[in-house]
Amino acid sequence: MFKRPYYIALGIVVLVTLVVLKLPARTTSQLKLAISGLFLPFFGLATSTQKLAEKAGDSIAPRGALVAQIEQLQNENRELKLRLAQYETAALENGRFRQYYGWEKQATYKCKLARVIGRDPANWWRTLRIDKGIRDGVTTNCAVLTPDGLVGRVSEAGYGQAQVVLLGDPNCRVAVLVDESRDHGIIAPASSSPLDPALVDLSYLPRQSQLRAGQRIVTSGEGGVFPPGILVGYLVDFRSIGYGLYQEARVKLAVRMNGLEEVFVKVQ
Amino acid sequence: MRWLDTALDFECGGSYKRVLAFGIESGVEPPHSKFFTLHSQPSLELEIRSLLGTGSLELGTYRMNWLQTSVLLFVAFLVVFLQSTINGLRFVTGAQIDLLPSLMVYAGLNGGLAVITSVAIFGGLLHDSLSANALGVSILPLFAVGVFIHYHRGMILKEAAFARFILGVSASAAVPVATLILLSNTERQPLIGWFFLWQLFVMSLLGGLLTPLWFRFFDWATGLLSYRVEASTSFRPDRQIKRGRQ
Repeated sequence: MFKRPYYIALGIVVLVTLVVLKLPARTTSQLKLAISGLFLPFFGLATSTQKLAEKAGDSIAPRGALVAQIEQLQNENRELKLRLAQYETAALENGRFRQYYGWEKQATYKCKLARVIGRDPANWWRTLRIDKGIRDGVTTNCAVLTPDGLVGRVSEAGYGQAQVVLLGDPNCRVAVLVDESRDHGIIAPASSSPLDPALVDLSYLPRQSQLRAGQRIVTSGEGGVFPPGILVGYLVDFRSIGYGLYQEARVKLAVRMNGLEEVFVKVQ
Repeated sequence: MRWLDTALDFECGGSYKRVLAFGIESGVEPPHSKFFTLHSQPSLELEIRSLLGTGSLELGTYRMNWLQTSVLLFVAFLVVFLQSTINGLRFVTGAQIDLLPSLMVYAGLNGGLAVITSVAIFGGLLHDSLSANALGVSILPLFAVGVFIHYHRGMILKEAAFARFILGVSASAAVPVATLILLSNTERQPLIGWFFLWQLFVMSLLGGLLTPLWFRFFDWATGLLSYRVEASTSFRPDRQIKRGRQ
């Protein structure tokens, strides 16, 4: 049916595919990062172009608007300073109580600001690429967040870039709890509305949980990847499943995943 | 018949006893005035090659040179990069366009097996490296599409924009489906459901619409990278009537 060159080409392709697919996970990850490293100059170029465009936009902003913005930021800064002083007093008090009762100190974590440089070209994954890697202290499984809430975790870390798997992806499941009732559950991809990236499922909630729409969902800290207390989202609705054995809820994510430009990575 | 300046009727053997090649004749090669270079439009030259078979590539045929192949590979690289960085369509429709299958349609129709294999391996690896896909999973679907088109290129009306559109639609639908089938055999479980049909529709439609544009772009690029066709005049010294004694 086919001529010999077709069989030769098919043989080459099948061989390359099998070799690459059967490589150990670590080697594949390194190979992936090496290949994606080819794009780094282009990502850099795209980032600089974007920055240049932003600068150009800033330079044509009217002076009045800038002055108004500075005033607003100064007011905000004063307010935040006042709040920080209150929190510092509370933290000292908290530290003294912890010492008194012999409780372990809560671990603090450092965050590194990273820029989003790309997203997954395939439609069936929810991942993005950031411009921070091992050289900046970013490693696999570092939590990624914004001031609004949790974003996901680092799935692959290269020297100068990393891949982040977002909440709602099958490879990112997070142990969470309902802030009010302290009921534990797991965040998984939404089964009913996968087109909406803002919705995820909260499963394995106990059947006696007192749930209502609008409740805060935060990370529980179980598993060790995500620090406890980070806002994940707000409960939208819930239903009883598994013949009433447990409950499942839909959660609207606190972070707008489509609008992400910069994120914080929790580094060790 | 388009682009007709010189028509050449010759025997080629095989199933096609006689074919008519057409193009612009330039540079008669002495002393055998029977042999000359025939320049024609690349797509028309492919028709000739498909009629002649692989054994008669010398006369009036077109083969992608290394420069054109490099351009094709570079475009594949750019396409993957743009798919990763330009996300407007993804945010509006919920589906990101995949341009590699439509590029493979061009490679399948205009390139040889080496070109198809290179684009499939290079493009597939690049695509998977920026994605959460298992590395190498996109190679085989891209190659299968390219080879299928290449094998049947003699039967495809590749000059017709509608044929290119249909090929683009089919390729853009077949590659993701085949990739997902392969992915389902790995340990990674992709995010699929009924909404994937919508994504497939968007990808196929836009892939189909962009396929004829690839042909236009590469025809233009080929024109830039190859020798300019010598403008011929109707004056031919061998046809001049000479009067008087020689």
